Amino acid sequence: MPYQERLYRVGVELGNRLHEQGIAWWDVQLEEYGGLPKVLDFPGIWEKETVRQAGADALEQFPFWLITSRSMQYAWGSNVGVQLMNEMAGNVRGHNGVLMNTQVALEMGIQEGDMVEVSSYVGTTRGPAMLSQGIRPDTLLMMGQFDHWATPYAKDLNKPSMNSLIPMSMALTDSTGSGADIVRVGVRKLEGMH
Amino acid sequence: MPRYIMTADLRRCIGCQTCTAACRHANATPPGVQWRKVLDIESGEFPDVRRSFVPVGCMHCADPPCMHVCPSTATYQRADGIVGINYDLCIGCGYCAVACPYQARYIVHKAEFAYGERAGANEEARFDPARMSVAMKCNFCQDRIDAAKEKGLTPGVDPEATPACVNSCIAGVLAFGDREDPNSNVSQLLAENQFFRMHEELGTDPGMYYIFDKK
Repeated sequence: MPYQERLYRVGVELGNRLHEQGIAWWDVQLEEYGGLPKVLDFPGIWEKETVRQAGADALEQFPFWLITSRSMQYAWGSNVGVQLMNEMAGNVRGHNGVLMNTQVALEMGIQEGDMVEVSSYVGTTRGPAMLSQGIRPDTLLMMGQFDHWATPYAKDLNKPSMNSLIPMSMALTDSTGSGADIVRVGVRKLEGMH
Repeated sequence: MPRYIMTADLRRCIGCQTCTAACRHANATPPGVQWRKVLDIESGEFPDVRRSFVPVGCMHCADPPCMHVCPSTATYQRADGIVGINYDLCIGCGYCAVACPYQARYIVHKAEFAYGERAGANEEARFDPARMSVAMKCNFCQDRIDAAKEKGLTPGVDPEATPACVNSCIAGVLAFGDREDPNSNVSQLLAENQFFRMHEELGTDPGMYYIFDKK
């Protein structure tokens, strides 16, 4: 059976079982069990949920997209307690801070190395600003995720992390049960901190 | 007499820092002391921006400023081009670190280890008190080069006789060999490609060649 047909049938069968039990909270995700994915307004999914959770002016309050990426040094988490890896990652631009567009940062009075606070409607994190021409003006980047470790060394790295900023929401969960590492945020300079 | 040099093909470097890690392991340098490292350089303005990765370290200059300013003759130059430091003679004055246009020298006054003041077993076994409060830098893994003669190996060809950073490079960026031998790997690379050397205008005649395009 072609993969697309199998996926469609799994979706129908899963829907039937869920509805037999009176479960309707997976109905939006069930629409994704199809042969070909529909064209979706992906930014709109996050924007709509941000407004729903944080109010009508939420998009003005949180004007940036925060994204993350892996680095070659931290492709997986198993080496997060290795000092040498942290040192190597320090040679990669933006690894230890909040990467943001140079022009936008300067317009906001933020210089390289200034401490900034990044907030979403569920939390805040902070770290030094790192300015880059190579990032979109409406986007911030925090490489890796470092604020959930309880193990020695890694727990003391004290790097900004989007883990604190990502909401748990069915509206942002896809049919695989995953979300995406993206969230609307605001950023402000923390005066007197470097 | 050979002149040992290194080439770095900038078209291939991805900034993984494997050479940096390999150097630190091979030479047991303390945290933060990177005889080899890769710079992450951004150029241009949004949206027309480029990112370049540039391996740097001691350039083993033919006319090394660090050697000329050394008041104790600790910094020396071998006939094969390798610039080294005699730790027994070095007084740690730091003149060389100031004179080097490539910021390739380090001086450490306090023993530091990966996880604080207490050395791990590996660090304890490899700790060298002779390196405290003296200048340190890349020596092209000269022990391997010297051993090559005894073993009949060719530096830059046989891994045992090649600097650790070159051996470790996963992208084939770094190469090492004899500039005086027209048939060596590095001579061939330089014959086929365009290259530059860093701060060449200072007259240091550096031994690190950066390849950036075909001829």
